[in-house]
Amino acid sequence: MRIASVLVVLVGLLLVVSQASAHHSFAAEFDIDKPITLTGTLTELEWVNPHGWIHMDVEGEDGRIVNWAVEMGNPTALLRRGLRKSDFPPGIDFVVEGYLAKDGTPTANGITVTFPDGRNFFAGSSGTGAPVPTPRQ
Amino acid sequence: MQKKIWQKINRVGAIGMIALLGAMPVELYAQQAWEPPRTVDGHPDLQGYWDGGPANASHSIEDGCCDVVHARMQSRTPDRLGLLEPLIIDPPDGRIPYQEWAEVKRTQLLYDMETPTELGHIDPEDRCLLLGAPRSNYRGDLEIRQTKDFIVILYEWAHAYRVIPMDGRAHVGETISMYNGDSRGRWEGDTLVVEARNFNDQVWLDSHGSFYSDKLRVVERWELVEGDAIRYEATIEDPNVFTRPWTLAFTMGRIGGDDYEFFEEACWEGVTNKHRLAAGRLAVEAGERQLHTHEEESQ
Amino acid sequence: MRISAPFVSVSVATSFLLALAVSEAEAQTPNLQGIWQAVNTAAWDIEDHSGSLGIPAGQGVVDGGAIPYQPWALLQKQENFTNRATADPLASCAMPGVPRITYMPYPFQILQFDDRILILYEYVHATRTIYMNGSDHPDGHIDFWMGDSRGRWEGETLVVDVIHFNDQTWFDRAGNFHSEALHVVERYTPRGPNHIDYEVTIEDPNVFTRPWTMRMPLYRRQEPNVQLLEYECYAYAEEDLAKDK
Repeated sequence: MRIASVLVVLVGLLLVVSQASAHHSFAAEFDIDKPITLTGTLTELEWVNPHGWIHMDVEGEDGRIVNWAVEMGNPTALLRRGLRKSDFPPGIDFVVEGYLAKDGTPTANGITVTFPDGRNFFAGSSGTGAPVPTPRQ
Repeated sequence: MQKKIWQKINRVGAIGMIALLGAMPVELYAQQAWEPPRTVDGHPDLQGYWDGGPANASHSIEDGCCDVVHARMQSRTPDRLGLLEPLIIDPPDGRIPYQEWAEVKRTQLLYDMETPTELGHIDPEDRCLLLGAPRSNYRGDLEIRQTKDFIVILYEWAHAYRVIPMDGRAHVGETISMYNGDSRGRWEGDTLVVEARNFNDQVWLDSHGSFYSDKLRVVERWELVEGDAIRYEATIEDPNVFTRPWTLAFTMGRIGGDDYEFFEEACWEGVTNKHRLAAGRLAVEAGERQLHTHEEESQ
Repeated sequence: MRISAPFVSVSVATSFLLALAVSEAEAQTPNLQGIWQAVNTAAWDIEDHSGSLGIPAGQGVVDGGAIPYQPWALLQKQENFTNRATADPLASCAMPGVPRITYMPYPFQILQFDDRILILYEYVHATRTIYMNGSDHPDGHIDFWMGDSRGRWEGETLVVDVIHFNDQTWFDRAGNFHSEALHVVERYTPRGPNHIDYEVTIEDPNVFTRPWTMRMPLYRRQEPNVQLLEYECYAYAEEDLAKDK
């Protein structure tokens, strides 16, 4: 599957967090003082409500592979745009930036996605002055 | 003689015309008055898909969204914080008129939600519970359908629905309590008036622990207004918890085109709160409790 | 603005003709509106079964008696049956899927409109919108619990085509199951004012050797003030059920 399509999907997944979640009590679950960067490979995408989950294999400093769970928004907005779970097969490499869960498990709240070529997609809302994401041509 | 008969005819004619004119809808006289689209029953047609009003209201109907951490994690600019306009229109200070003991309990919940150790500390929305009225109406998009005897409101979030019988039947008995209450509707002119009661006490009016008791009664007013919108108003009463009835109001805009559809949003099947509870228990053990506030704190 | 007599006459006549046209249109398709419920033991077991503690004996609703499982799938069904107390998705209060939602022992309400039919179920407030506007299913595959429903009238019968299922639901508590390839066709045919003949065909080439059919009457709930209440399954045992979530 082409990288461009994957970019759109991932950005879309993360964007949904910003638009939909007025309710989610982030402070109770994730640590604003512990931003985290995860470099790894997609193993599974949970395409579910109320929150989707990206599962990714991440190699730690000790060389061990740990499977991380990264929380996303709900998939309805993506479905409405015509995207499907099958657009997102396992094996894609990427970097997730987010905040570490407070409970000590390998869990994070996903905020941005970056690809190995350095292209960075800030998944904040529109109007923040952040770069607007554009898929690779 | 002829003149008298003619006068009689004129008088009858005049009375007849006045009667006929009196029976006409008033709108015919006012050339500029806006007329809502109507169903075959002659009532305003509320059918279609509508946005759930102000997006931040479900976080707090007094303060909108959000706390500092939430705002920073979502990179919310000032225009996406708070409420664009007050939701609570009565009392004028825009605050829920809680009784003193209830305000204390709510403050307790504002602490507990930061370090939750049990399910009751977690926003019912994050537990996938039905959100009742009026919260369901400002939590997200809704769909209205009308038949002769029923108005049905469907909510995309967690596939919730409310059935509103319009045939004047009595409410169910007092000992049946439901998350979404029991609703009865009637038309007052062009305004749909819905009375809801038989709520349970399990859910909140927003994420700020704004709880109520099973004596809650809600009177909603739904009015189609110019500009493809619904003006929504809810008067809330609960003698166990509030000092007086109070009212919130907002406008919902129509969404979607001809082909618009809701998608299934299963909730319970995919919900998880274990991370939040584990974190809360760790924090409480470490003696770290804090108040949920939208104020900037020294961090 | 002057209101003339001809204007009034034309308005009245038009309204009358319009009302007549509408009622004519309504007379052509059956009215399935109301509150309905199945009365059988299919929710426990859609095939013939003896009684057991808490479960009444029942005659099956499957045409031909036995579900035509592929050999591997029959073994899976038997494993499901052994583990049913915990393995049944309803044991964790998940949505029952289609057609199990139809024959759960809870009422549901049908409401009809020009372009859609709504079915609202009391059990875990499940809902289905059956789009009657000739639209296609959305492109797939989508994992829905209750599928995506598109319907049409064939004479007196409402025919509903349902796809886009996950593989998480069962047909009953006895462990009868399906894959994501499930394709359901329902047929609702009124028989008199208070009965609907419900016929449902199941197709799943991953699991069965051929399509197969269930059938049962649906009964109108006739109590004068009957209405849907709530059965919020998971809320009643949230503490227990949320332990693994």
